[in-house]
Amino acid sequence: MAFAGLLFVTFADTALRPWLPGLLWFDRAPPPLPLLTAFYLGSHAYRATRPLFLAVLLGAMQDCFSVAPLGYFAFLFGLAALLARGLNRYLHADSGAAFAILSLFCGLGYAFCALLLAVLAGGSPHAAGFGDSLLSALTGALVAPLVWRMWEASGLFREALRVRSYGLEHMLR
Amino acid sequence: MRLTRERTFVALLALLLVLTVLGRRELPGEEALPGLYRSLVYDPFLDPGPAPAVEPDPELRMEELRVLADSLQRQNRELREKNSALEKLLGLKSELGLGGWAYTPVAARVLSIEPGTYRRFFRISRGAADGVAAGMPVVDGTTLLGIVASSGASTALVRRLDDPQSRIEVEVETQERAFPGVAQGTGDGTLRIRLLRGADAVLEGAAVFTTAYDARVPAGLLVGRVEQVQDLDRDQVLEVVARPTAAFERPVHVEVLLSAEPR
Repeated sequence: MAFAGLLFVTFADTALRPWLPGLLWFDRAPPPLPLLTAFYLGSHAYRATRPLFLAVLLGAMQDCFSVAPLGYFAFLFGLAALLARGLNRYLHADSGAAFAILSLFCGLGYAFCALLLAVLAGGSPHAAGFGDSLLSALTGALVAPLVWRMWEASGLFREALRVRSYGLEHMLR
Repeated sequence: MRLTRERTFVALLALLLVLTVLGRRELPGEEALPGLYRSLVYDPFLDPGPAPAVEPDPELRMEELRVLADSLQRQNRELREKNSALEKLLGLKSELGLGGWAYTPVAARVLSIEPGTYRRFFRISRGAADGVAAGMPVVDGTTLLGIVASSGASTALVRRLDDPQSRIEVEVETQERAFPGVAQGTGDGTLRIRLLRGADAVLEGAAVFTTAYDARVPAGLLVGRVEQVQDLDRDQVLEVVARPTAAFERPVHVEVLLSAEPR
């Protein structure tokens, strides 16, 4: 089910990207739904690594739908999940609002990482769309509570939820 | 175990990084991609360029087209009405100008000017097959050129007004009244009209028209203009020298008035 959920998010994001609403002049930067999912997985990983692998899998799916170098999104989503897991220690994402703040910071970090990686991969900073990535971080933070609620309610990532419960219990000890 | 997984994850990330840096895919241009794939593909390195132009609202566009259609229909209706009015005017003109005669004009081409010292004829490209018969008037607009003298199967010979054997009943118009007379060709390019007594008021430049007394031609066709008024034999009957208005040498196309019968 988790795999189906990742596949659905990836496909929906790619297929609906041209029609996803932006914010006024942010039309070129619709909210990155797969990236938010990767943040969600990372914020629920705690000490476990399985959600991180799920984020890599999500990025690999995104690679299938893109003309980016193979492994580009897989690497970035894994890194984003790792970043979210690290930030989750300070910005504990136990609500939609907290997840939005976490997503904003993670999105900014993702934008810088994406820029560096694009330059390493032979692209130019201009072509990497750094500005669009920053705007995506903002629009992503705005819709982050909805994404958080969706995954919390769907229970598709029970493994992540189970890990979070385990982590919370472990932290309370 | 957990440490191993984390190491595996880090190794995976490193592998992906290498793949990303070294494995840039060379894909064909966007135009070469299949349509479905092109709609699904996502290029993070692609410079999106300027924002696409905003498509006009379909409903707004439809409204504009509806207004345009209404405007065109209104113009069409006005033009039809105007056309109808003009057709009526044309009909009225033919009735007024040609004395209420029913006729069917048939266009013809002037084939040749018939040679001859005294004869004044020309040949046209319509004949008996087209309904042209002897005695029918030939006009150029509202100006009388002559009368069909004979018709073959596909051509006809037209006697010009200035032919010495041409006789047309006409009337010379003055300000007070019209004086009837008979216009006779002279062979020198003029017409000679004998008017009855009392035509003193005829001045040079007066217009000469066909009259309803001549059964062959409709009334009201312009024949010529008066050049000279004289009474050489002093018999109180004026002789008027008129010059035909028709430019016999110039017309290339003329009209034969078929079935010139009164309504």
